[in-house]
Amino acid sequence: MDRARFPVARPRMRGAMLIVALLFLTLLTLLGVTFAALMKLERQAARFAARPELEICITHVTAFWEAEVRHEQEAMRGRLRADSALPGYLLQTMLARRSAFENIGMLNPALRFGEDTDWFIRARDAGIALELMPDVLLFRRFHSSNLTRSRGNAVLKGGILDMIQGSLERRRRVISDTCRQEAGEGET
Amino acid sequence: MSSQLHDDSCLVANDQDVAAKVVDGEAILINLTSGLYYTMDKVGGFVWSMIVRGSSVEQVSEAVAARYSVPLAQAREDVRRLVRELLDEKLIVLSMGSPEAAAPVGPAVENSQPYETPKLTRFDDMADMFALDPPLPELPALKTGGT
Repeated sequence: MDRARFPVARPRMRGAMLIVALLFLTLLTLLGVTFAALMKLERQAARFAARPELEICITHVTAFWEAEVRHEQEAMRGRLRADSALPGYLLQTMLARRSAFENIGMLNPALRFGEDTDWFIRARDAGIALELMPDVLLFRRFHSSNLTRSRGNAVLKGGILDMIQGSLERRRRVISDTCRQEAGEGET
Repeated sequence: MSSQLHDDSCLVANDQDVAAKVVDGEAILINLTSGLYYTMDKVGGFVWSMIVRGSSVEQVSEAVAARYSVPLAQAREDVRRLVRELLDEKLIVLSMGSPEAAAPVGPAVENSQPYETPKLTRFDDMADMFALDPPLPELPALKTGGT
């Protein structure tokens, strides 16, 4: 190309090539995400096929921190296996049968945070068949705008204690009902 | 830690790593570092409420003896054992300071309540469920910009 006749042609071409490259990268990312999602579903569906009694399947999670919150990663070292893959008791990792919700009930709409944790605790209390796959099929990004940041530690601690209290009460109720039932059977 | 326990040792809840509340006299505690949680029955719940006030081992023992129909010697023995368990589980720490001077030792009740040896019950079935979002009290607050 004659630069004397077309002095701006080369920068324009570079710009166009850059846009094409960005579009290509975006397309590759979307394809990668779609492929990963399909792989996740396929692998979890295989667990349901292998275990007909299974009602909930979840996976492990690996967290990663953006630069602005990297100090949190350091602070979390040594806490609850924060350095490695964690059990993903999150809706994002979950594949579940409709019957799980019919047996456990829906998420508690009164809870602003931790409604998924509460649901999984209720599932465990109800004896629902749940499988935690060893595979890491979710990557969780921590950044300065995570929704969970708007809660305070006091709120979080209070919520955890409420969940424990609820679980204790449910389990004690089951024991109490069982004892009452057995006592009734003993009388007849 | 527990070997340094004396009657005048001041007891403090490990607020950094522990969340706790007392419901109908029963204490529910969780160590957020380990994910283990605990319950303490009626007498244990009373002991916990005394620890939260910053009491010494002796103050707690006297309060238990005053509130329940139990000799001071037995109350002291049971409180010491329970406190050692709480220290071992890192639910409380010994404070270097002296006990709160104004810490109430609990009112003597006219009709003492029935006494049962306080017991710390430990559960480990939920540690994995709380692993993803442990509260981090030592972290500086971030400006929240998102929803």
